[in-house]
Amino acid sequence: MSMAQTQLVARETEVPAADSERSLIERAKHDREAFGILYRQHHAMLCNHVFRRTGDVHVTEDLVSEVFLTVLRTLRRYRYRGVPLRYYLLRIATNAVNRWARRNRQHAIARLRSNDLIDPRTERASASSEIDSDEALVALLTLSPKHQAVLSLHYLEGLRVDEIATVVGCRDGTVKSRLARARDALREELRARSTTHD
Amino acid sequence: MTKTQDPVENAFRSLSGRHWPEHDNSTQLEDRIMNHLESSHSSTLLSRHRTLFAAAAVLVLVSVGFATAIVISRTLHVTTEINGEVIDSREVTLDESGSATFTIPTDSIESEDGTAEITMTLEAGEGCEGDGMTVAEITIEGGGGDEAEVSIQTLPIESEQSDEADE
Repeated sequence: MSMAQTQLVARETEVPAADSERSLIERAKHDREAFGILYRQHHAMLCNHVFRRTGDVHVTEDLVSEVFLTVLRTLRRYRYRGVPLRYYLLRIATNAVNRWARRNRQHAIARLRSNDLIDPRTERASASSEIDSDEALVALLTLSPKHQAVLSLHYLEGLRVDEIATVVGCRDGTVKSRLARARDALREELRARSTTHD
Repeated sequence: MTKTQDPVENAFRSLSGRHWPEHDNSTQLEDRIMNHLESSHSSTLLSRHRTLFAAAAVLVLVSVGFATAIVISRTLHVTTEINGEVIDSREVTLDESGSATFTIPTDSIESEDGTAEITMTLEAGEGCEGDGMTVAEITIEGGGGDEAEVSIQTLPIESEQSDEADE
């Protein structure tokens, strides 16, 4: 079982049942308490996802706030059609992180290289890991935001191709080819970095 | 999870080891959002008034246009609504060929089939050279990501109506 599949199995146990999610969303359109439940259900997932893509605690806080404020603005028009709300949230988050990456990734890479970006309170990759997580993030940030997005959704969120297509709003075939190109680009970048270090 | 030799999987395994720390300010963010939720009702009403104002302005503009002439406006005020919500409002300056291009944010669109209802309202801007209206073709491309590109091409003045105007 691949890493992405393993994460997917773990995640599926946490997804709320469709009926209860539908009714919670309907309530959250008008009810502060219900919105609070939605917030608490998804806050940690979004923070983890954004944090793994940006590596910056403050940026993560800002972007996750932006996501929830967007949800607040658009939830009244949201119609539940059996697609988990998590995908909708990931779409907004992906767009927000992509916008951030377009403007700030060079700066973020420079800060990561100087190693002052990571909050000391966060857990770092295990010592046994073959690639340092800072190095992994720097390599990821060198890719185009669209490539970063599909790779992150697949490997970090454990989404399948069709699920990623739902999140990013394009066809399965587009996701497949984008994933393949992104994988090649990241592999090449990691190899180049490892050669440089050797 | 078994380790592989694939550097991509190894990199993401390493990144997965990062977890968002439990911050106290998660509660602060929740409070901030809840306060925003309280005030959202009044802001919704305000945006509805804006939309109505834009629609009324266009009606006036169109009626004036038919009564007098069609002229080229050098600037346009463009209001974009997606699925009934105003998502963008801006002044655009037309180039010499009477066209302009800009991008609009589409990241908040909720659509499963990849379609959205887009309404664009064009009003003559301050540089308008007459009392009339501008006839324009609007093309919207993209939108699958977080932006769509909008092209506006104003059409040549139609001779029949121009003649009427000259009279």
